[in-house]
Amino acid sequence: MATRARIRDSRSDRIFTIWNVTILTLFTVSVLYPLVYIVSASISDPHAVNSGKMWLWPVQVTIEGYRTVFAYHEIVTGFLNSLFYAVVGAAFSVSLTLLAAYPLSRRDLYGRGPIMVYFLIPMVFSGGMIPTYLVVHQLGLLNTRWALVIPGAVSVFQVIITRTFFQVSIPEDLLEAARVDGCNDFRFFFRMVLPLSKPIIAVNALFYAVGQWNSWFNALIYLTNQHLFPLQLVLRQILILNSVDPSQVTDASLLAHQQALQDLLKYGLIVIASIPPLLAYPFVQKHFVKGMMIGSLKG
Amino acid sequence: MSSGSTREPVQGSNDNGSLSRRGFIQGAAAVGIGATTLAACSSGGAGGSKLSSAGKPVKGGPKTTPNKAAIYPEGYIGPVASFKGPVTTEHATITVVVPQDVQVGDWSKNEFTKWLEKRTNVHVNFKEIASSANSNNASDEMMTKVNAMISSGELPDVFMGMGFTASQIYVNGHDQKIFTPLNKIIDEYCVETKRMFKDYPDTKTVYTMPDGKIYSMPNLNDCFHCKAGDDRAWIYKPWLDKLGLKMPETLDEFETVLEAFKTKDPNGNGIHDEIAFTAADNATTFDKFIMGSFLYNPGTPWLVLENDKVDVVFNKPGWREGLKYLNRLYSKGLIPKESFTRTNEQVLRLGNAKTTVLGAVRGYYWASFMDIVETDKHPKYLDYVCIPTLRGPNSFRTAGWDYYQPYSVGSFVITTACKIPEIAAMWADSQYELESVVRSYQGVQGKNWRWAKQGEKGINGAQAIYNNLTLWPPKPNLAWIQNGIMYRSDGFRLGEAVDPAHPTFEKALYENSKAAYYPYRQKQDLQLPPLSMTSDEAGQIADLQTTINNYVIQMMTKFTQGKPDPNQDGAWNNYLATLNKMGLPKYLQINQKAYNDRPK
Repeated sequence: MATRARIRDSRSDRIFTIWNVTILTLFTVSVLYPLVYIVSASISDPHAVNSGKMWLWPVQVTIEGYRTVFAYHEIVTGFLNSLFYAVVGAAFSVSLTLLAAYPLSRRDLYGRGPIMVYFLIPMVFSGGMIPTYLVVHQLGLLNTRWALVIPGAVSVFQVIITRTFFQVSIPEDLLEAARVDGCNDFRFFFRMVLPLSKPIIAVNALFYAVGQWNSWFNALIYLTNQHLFPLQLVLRQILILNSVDPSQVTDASLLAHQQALQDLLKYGLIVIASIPPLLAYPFVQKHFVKGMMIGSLKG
Repeated sequence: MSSGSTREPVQGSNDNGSLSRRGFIQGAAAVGIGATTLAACSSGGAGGSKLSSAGKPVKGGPKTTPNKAAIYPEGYIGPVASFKGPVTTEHATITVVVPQDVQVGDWSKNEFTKWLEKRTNVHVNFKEIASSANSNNASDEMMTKVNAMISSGELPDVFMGMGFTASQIYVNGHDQKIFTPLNKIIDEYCVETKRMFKDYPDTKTVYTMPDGKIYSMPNLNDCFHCKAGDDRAWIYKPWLDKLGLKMPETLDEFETVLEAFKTKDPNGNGIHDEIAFTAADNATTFDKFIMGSFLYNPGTPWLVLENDKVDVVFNKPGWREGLKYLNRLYSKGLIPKESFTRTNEQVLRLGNAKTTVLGAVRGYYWASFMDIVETDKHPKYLDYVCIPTLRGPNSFRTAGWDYYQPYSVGSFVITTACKIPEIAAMWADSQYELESVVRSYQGVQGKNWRWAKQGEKGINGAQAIYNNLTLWPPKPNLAWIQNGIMYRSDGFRLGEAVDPAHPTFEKALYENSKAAYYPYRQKQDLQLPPLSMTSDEAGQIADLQTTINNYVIQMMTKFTQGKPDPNQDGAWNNYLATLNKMGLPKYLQINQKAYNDRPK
């Protein structure tokens, strides 16, 4: 316990510490407050929330909101569908990204430059919505789950980050050593490259999974079977689209009902929709900074 | 991050660390062949009705026998109950695109779907588009999907509940020939539609496009209180009583009342926290309520008719007088500055607060500024009552009454891909029958509603027609809510039995609107009917309308706040000049042309 007797903080140090703590505390509160507010609101009486009686902790605790959420079949199916799209979509996208990025990281790839340019073109402009729709239609993907998984499965941005990661963290000497021992490219990729690339795989998986979890537009365009709809589409219907201009609605009882329903479901839905990403983050976070940093060096 | 870049074949031929050109070409070729094969497979199934035996449409419409279970009030006009036979000689199938709606649940398993199939002998393959539940409003997103379907040739037989605008119908019907004209089919097969044409003579003109054809089946919802819509402003009656004031009838009386609200502390908490007059949110304007004391104001887009001449009201002297009045209220602090910035959430918070602070509010109905809690013994919302249109100079008072509110075009169109349009039309026509309407809207007979008994009173106090056993809306999977097409006349809507002990707010809204605005409504020939335009006109007018409307609203706020002052001639002339520069004459000219061309 020698530290006790150590040098006392100087005046400026103490001021710095106080400021530091104050500012960081304020920052933490400003981040935490909305989270707590939404969780509290989701188990409070909607009328209390509307009248401003609830500002931090739950008032008139009720689980009516959650009960109503689960009474809607679409919300439950939507949740499961979204999980499917996030998991399968991420797995598919990550595999393709790795398979694209590794060869591009190899100096001995013939025609690496032109291929890279070819990859970059769709980053600048895409074919447009209707042509893409026609392609999906002609491939027979319309109204199947694959319509959300296959089109746009690979993000070129991720390919570049991953390629750079490989270039930086997999030394060429390793490949040569493996070759001497009789290892072929496949074996090298699966046995050496992949185990060494966990951070970048985690980053990719998170990006793709969150992307899938939050997306709704492709589903809107490609799906006409409500059993395949992801959660976000159902959420949009309940939360955003129903908050319409009252003068445009011909029926007051419809409007009143929509408002009441929206009030009741709003916060519970937000909580439910945020749980999976919130659960995933802590596990991936430790890889996150590492993977991103290395990947973005020498871009 | 761009889309559409799966590059599998490149990687596939890449095993040895160097890409062989042959491998690449082979890979590419394989994908190409694969794509064509798939396309070939799917092209057979694109669009239209895939059926082996569709049957023939029943000549002259389905067999119809009156249903004696329904009793009608005297002088009733509206849908009539009857038993209907099948519309096709053999079981038929049609594909219908509908909006997804959590209240409807699974369209194919919905109770009303089953009932209608049994009655009509038409099976429906539903395709759901994710979007708003409100069929009167096509959202842009829904239209994106519909356009993608149309341009890929993947047409269903029917679009229902999509809310096409009149112009979209005209473009797709007349120019693109994607929607089927229905005049002849309605004439030969659709009994209920013809009843509607007879009951509501405007129906036919509203639904007929400039080329004389009808492309969409009517969807009629004659809602009394909706016609007053944005006329409504609400006042807290207990404050008037407490201060010994009577309901304001003139502009001056209104001003006195507001002043009393502001200065006399009617909520009695010792603080001047009362808000005399405000709007339900920053997008709500005062014009439809206030301008009625100076001139007839139909509300956005402010187009009116005068002896068959299309005109606007926002550049008239009466409008300026209205702005001066608003400016006076504002400068006295009776309309607070925050009224123009508060969001609806903030206003709701004020309206729901324990201490009453809102005196008068311009809002569509109670829920615009407070929660409607029906379960209370004496719900507080009922204390807010409608302020009648105020009497202005020369005793002028006119409430803008929307005579064309009942008609929403574009709820039901049959595409040219449909091989049995007569059957599809009759399937629609069947939905206008009284029992169908109640089932489609309210749910299962015997569970969600029953026919009214002799002596039960409706919303307007006359004999009721049906009695709702459960609160609307029904639980999911029982009804189509408002996504189907219906014939809901005024008589039908008011025929909902009211439990005298627990009236719903629908009744109060009806009574308020009837007392405060109905007596002062304008003549119908002053209102510009809905116009359908050619694609060319529609394109030109869209931009003009947005620019002009935004400017009018923006200037209304500015004039109210006295920046610029509506009392200064310079400011007003400036406003008029800017409107002309924005293309007001051209805007009127296009509207005039569309009005002249409309089918009489």
